[in-house]
Amino acid sequence: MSPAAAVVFYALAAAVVISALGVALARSIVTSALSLLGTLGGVAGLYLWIGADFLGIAQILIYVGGVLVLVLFAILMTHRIGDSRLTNLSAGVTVAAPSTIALGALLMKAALKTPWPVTEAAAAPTTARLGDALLDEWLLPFEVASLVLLLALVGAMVIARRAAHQKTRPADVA
Amino acid sequence: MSFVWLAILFPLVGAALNGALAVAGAKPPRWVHHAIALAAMAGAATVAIAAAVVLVQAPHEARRLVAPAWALLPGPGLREPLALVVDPLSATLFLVITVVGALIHVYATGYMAADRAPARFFAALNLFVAAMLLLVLGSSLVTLFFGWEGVGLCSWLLIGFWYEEPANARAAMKAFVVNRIGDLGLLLGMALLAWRVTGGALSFDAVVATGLHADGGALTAALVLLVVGAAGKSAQLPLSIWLPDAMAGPTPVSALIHAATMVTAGVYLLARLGPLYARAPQAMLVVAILGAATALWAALAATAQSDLKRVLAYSTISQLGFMFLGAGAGASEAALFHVVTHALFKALLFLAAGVVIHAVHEADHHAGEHGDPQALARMGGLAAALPWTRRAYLVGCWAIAGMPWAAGFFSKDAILGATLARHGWPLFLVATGAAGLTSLYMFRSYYLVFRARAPRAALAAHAVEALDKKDGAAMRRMVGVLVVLAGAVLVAGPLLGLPEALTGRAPVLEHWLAPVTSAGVERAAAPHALELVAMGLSLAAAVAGWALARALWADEARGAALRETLASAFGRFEAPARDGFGLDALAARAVVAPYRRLSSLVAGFDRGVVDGIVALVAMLARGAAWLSGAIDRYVVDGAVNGVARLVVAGGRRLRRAQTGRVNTYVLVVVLGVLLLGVLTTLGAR
Amino acid sequence: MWHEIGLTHYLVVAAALFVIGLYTVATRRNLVAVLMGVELIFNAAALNFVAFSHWVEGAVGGQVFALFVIVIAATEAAVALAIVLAIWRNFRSIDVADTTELRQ
Repeated sequence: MSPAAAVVFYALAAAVVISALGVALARSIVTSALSLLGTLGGVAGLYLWIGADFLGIAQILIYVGGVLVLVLFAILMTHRIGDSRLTNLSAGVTVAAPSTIALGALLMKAALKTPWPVTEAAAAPTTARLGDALLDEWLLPFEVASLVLLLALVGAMVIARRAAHQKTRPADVA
Repeated sequence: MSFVWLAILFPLVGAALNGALAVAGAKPPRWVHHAIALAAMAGAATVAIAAAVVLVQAPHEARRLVAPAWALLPGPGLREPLALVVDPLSATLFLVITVVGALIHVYATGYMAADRAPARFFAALNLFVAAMLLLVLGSSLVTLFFGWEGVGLCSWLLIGFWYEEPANARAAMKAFVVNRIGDLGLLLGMALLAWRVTGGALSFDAVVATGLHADGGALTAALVLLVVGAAGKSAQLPLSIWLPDAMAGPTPVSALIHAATMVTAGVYLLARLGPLYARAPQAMLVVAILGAATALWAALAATAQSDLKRVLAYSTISQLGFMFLGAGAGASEAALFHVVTHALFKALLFLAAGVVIHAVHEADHHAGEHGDPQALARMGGLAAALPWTRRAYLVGCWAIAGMPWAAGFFSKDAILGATLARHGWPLFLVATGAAGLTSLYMFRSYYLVFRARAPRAALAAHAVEALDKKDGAAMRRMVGVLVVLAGAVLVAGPLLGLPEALTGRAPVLEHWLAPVTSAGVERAAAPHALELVAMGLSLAAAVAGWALARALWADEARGAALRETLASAFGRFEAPARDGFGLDALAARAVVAPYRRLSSLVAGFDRGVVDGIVALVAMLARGAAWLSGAIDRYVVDGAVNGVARLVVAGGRRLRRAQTGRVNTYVLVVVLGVLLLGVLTTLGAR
Repeated sequence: MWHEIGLTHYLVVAAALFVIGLYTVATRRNLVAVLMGVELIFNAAALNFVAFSHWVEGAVGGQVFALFVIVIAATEAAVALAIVLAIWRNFRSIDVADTTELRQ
């Protein structure tokens, strides 16, 4: 492969990691949300780089267009409008940092040391193949996934709506 | 011969019965108490007479009744079988105690007719007789000692009979304590005898037997110690201070205990050990000097007394001095003769004085006056009111003064003769002087009581009227006893004691007593001439005393001038004489005050040191208890609570893991995975 | 080796992403931030699948799996954020420290 491809990969990887750090460490929740945007986009780029074209696009459509928007909605609905310094505190860093770093080291070691049976594959459009797989080999999970989506829809609506007996508290409207 | 025990048993039972009635608070009619007491005395007297009869019928040298009981004090070294022995000496006193005692009991039923506590009185009186009999009839010094203490107790009970008056209680205590001091001497003497002389036995037989062969200081020292004991009981100097104050008791008590019987216990002891004293001339000299000095001192004091009973009390001391003198002069029989005669006439005098006092008391009531019924100053002219009493009193005075024919004449003469023979003129003159004074003060009291004195005429008239109204039976009883005693006084002298100088034979009583009191001792028979000289001189002294008394006091008006002269000459001696020449004050300063200081010192020691130690121990105990409590509170509870707190704190810390936060739980998962990875890695290696 | 991008590169990136996601979940007190961490974890897992599918088998199974991961992640985000809204209404706070009813 060409060095340019490698550089692109590294750029994408850096974007992903740095954005992830932004999610983890940002002071403001909105900053975290926007960093998440960067991460999701970077991951989509990585998909595309590897040749999973459908997946990359799907990532952007669903994650960035759906989940991220949902997160932003949630943020803005659960904080008082006008509270500019939307708090986003961290706690328990002293225990969490070392242990997660240790776990990360463990995983990377596992990744690097394990002799993967690697075979080089050519890049090819995957959409058709995905569609075939979904309706052929992976039909049942496909149907179940659609059912899950439906249930989630209904469930989210049920949970999120105001209950009939719940009175509107004056502070709610603040 | 165990019937002799009945003599002690009867009065003991009588005392128990009356005592039970007193304690139970029962109030039977008065005659019940009288009957119990008199029956007991009658029984005792009967036994005495029976024993005397038995004794008389026995041969002269073998007159002895033994009535054993059981072995007393079964201890090492002292093997004393408890037994009563009736021999001539104890029989004599046996008769005196029971017969005179019975007469006094009869008198007492009249005298105490209005008293509130007859049961207690007659119980104590009977108990006294029982103890006195034990003293006299006992076969050893130990039984004598039991009786000795018993009569001391009864004396205390009876002197302080009217205990509501603090002075009476004090007098009783004084008598008891002074007796106790004498008892110390007695005990030490007994111990010394047992240890050094007899080797453990204290029966009279053993003591006399071993003592006769013993020589040296131990015997003499023991005898002198016994004299100390005798002096306490018989009120010799300086242990005589209790007798005048003992007059605080009822008159029958004074008559029985302090005239006729208890005070003669000392003389009895000396007579019992007479053979031993005969071998210890130093001891005898001590006794003689003591007796003579006491006789003179008491006679001097008696002349200055203003209380009728106190005159008689000092008179008793003086006569006891005579008895001691007799014992100290080797004439124990004479001394005992005087004991018998003294019992009769002193009891007579006391009982007559009792009637007089009773009359004055009634006269006061009648006249609405209040005063001391015993004060001589308030008496006078009672001859008309108390005719028979006067005669009886006169007989008594006649006897005690040593006038011819009456009992005291012979007995006193015998003593004086022996004194002259053995110890020479100095003591004889002292004793004769005392005899003269005896006559003087006794007739003084007679004249002051019975002869007309102008200022007291009113009293006499009251007395006549009062006694006319009074219950005749009691008075008749009392006067009847007086008459009987007066008769005995008149008869006893010639009957018992006509001296050898007059009859050519030994006096009856002396002969009777000799086997006991003079066993193994050869008598130094006094030359007859000396006896007659003594007799003459003592008679002269007695008559002189009577004459002087008559001149001074028989007629108030006529004697006034003479009294003035004597008052200016001797007046300054009157007050000291009345107080017994300061003996009481001396005792208080020399004995009582230091003793009190010692007691307060000891009490202070007890409070300070002993109580201090106790308090200290208590404090230590409290401290220990506090320490234990503190350990329990802090250490033990602390440990327990500490464990509990530890658990709680640990729980609290551990609980922090349950934060309720999601991210904590995720972290825990991470950590678990990490752990797994590490373990797997290590395991794979 | 640095210019020959291989499976291990992707695995390392995915591992880093995963660990950072874990850190976010373990640390953040804002519930929404926790959910964002969960999204990071999902992404890391999906990246892994895709990498494997490309390099190891050549079949498309890995990508299918990644697709399903995306679906489920979306589902989960929806439901979770609905729950966050409900919590907000009940507790007036979406601080994790305030929703500790199950705390001992």
